[in-house]
Amino acid sequence: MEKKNRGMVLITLTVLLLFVMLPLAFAETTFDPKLVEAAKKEGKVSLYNSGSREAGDTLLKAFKEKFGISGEQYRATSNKILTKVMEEIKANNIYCDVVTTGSPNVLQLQLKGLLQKLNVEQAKHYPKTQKTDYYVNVTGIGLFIMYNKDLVPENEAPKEWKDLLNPKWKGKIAMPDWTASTSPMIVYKMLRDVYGTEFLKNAGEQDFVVHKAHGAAANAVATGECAISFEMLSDRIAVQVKKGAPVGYSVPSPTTFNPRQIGIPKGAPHPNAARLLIEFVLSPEGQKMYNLGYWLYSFRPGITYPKEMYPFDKIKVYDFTPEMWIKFTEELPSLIEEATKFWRKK
Amino acid sequence: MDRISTSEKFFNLLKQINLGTVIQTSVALLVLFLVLYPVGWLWLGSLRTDPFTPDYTLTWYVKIFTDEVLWQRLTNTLFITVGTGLMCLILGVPMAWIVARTDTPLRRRFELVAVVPFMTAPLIGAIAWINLAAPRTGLLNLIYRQLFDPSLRYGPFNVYSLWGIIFCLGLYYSPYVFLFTSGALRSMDPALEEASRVSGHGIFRTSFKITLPLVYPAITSGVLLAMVFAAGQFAIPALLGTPAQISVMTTTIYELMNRWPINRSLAAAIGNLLVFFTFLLLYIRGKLLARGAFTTVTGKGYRPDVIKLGKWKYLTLSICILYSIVVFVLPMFALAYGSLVKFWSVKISLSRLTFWNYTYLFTEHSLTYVALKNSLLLALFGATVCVLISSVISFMVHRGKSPWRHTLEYIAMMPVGVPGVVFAVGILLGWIRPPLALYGTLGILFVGYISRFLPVGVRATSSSLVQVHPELEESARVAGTTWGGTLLRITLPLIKPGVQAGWMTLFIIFLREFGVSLFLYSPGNEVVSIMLYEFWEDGDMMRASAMSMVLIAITLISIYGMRRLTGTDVSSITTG
Repeated sequence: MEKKNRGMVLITLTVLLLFVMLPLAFAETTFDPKLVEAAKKEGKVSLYNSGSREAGDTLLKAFKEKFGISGEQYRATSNKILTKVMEEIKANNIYCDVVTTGSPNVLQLQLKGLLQKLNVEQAKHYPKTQKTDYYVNVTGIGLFIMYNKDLVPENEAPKEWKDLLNPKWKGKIAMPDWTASTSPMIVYKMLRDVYGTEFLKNAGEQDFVVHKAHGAAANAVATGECAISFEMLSDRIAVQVKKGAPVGYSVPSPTTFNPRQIGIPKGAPHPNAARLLIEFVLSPEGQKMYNLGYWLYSFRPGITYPKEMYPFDKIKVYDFTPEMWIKFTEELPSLIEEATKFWRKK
Repeated sequence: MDRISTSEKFFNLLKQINLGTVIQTSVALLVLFLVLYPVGWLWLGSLRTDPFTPDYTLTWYVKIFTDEVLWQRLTNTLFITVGTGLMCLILGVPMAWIVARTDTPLRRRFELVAVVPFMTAPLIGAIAWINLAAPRTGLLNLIYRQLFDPSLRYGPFNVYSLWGIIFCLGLYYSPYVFLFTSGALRSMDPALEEASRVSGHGIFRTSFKITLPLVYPAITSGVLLAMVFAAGQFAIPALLGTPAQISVMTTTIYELMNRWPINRSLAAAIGNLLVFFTFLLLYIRGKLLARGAFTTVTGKGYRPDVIKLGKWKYLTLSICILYSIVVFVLPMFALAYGSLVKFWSVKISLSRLTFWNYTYLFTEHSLTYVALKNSLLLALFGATVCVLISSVISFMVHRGKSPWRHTLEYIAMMPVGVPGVVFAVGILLGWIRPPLALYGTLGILFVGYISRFLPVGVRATSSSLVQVHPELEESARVAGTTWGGTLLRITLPLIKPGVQAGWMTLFIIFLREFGVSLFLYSPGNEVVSIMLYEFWEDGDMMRASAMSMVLIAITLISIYGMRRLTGTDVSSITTG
């Protein structure tokens, strides 16, 4: 075949391929009609969410538009959600249909035998390391360092975890309450493994300004009440950036994700609606809506990220294997105790 | 023969049972259940390894006194309680003296300002003072640094401290000292003061040496009551103490109930210790009042002279203006400013003002209408039911002949000494499990509010009832009117002002209630204070400020409406 003809054939084939692929790419996920029918009969779903209320509202609104099923949201810190769900199950007075919190709280529910098997189709598209039979990691929350650009020039901003120990930050570091949220303890565990306990003990000398949750800590940095954060969730940084607050962020190396897990408690009053909501949020459509708008990362392969997000592939991840998560879950109470010993104001 | 006599007895008993007896007995049993059931669960829970496991232990009480961290929190609580008492003394007594006894210009207006904290809520007060005195970005700090010391990057005011907590609690609870003291100052026998002045002592010497010692039981009573409420306060220590890692007993209870692993038994034990402490303060207060130390404040209707201060009245006027600025102007300005900026910044600029937060609240936030609807429903129906129950209790106590009536009154008033968060723990333990599983419904908040604030209703209706002589009711009964008819046609119309004031007080308390709601709400049952707390937890102080302004507006409109409809005086509205 002549070179010119060969080129024409290639172009034609590419165009044809595109024609075939495009509808596939834009095709909406189809959901099991029986499940949809059963969910509609239940009529409502209750979501217990440790993420931002906005993200939860967006998800429930889209879910209602798509399936006509209304949802209610209970928003609180990860640990509060864990205790509330356990309390409800223990009292056999369950209101929660879908529980989603930072790791490892949903795993804790699984280990205590308080979750039901998921059986959702969309889970098949997720890597084995990001799911069990009982939950799926619906979101990867980036754990970064945040700073106030009015108070800290970019070249002086902390880039790595060890920069946080610089005495110039003493009394200026916002820290989310490590007894209420799981992310500070995930970072604690990572730093303990990477730098050792001495590093964490020294960090305690910095007199952290403690805030009840990440939102409050992020706000403290955005307003200038604190100059930098110890660790900050990528979605909380996004909220401040979108508001126009003078904040910047660094991605230390290594860092890790706090995988937000999603599952269904045993005895959930609307199990079909719960299952359908999870199918929806795990679908490409749900992932884009629930994650990308809030600078959250997805574990579903093939997701394209918007430009304003820090590239997923540039993050040097300290990987928590499934075994490490289970060990972390067991160690958590003693780790919290240790952190409190090191970090509590003297 | 015996059988006939038994049935006769039964028949006679049936004849004695009329509607009045049924209602009174039902209300008495309901009150016993509403108050004693959660209190019982608190005790039971604290004496078990887990509240729902019948395995008894004293471990949790031992732990409170042996655990270093808990001991520290206990001392924080004591320090804050005593500090608040002193702060209330410093703020409340001079203001009471100025307003009640001197010719300071505009003193009647300042009397209204002094009760302003009653109209807002501790949670809102804490939000306002964060906006004002957060060490780096508080408005007062920013203005001070810009005017006096631009090199300073921090302070000089720091609301995130023990002193900050005491200051805010003092501002919020000083009206108790103010109202008690001003009341006593207005009704005291002026003879001793006159004697002092005749002996050549000046105004201030007479006031310090004669007047204040005469009304000291009223002052002590107000201070002790302020201390009781300060010890059980949650919102202010939670919001202001967290950044400085300062915890008190109430915030510890919240932590234990919401942090993994949960320890409800320890929370209940700490709650009981707090109840013991508050009851001790109330006991001391009761002893003081019972000693009859008010002999110079009799019911003779004295009207002491207004003291003419001369040029000193400008000093007292300045004090009143300063007090008004601190208590009212500054917090309101901070909330208004916070609600009108998109994000807080160290750069203050009017060009950044926007209604963005309000637009968001009313067009986007999923909770706004739900929370407003729930709060208004609870306030309307809760206040009505609570006042009805309270009226029956007061009637039984002050007009009844049952030997148990004072026990009933004592039980109904018991929640006064039980902090909201502690009472909520008892309610949660008692009402989460079948057959009384109200958890997950608005009903549990309804029950919680009524049980917790029953004393407010009982106090309002009782104080009106004791002022009405029973002659009219007795005449009605002699004329053959039933118990219910007497209550509806004679007693209630006579105590109407007290009932209205009680209803309004309860309406305001329920509208902004926080301590009980925080433990008992569930999805769909959120109230306005929960929205505020969520905003604070998320660090969204601007939206918290906007929602606070909305709540204040609703409160003021309600007071205005009630005043127009019934003529209820604002000063008769006080919190429990």
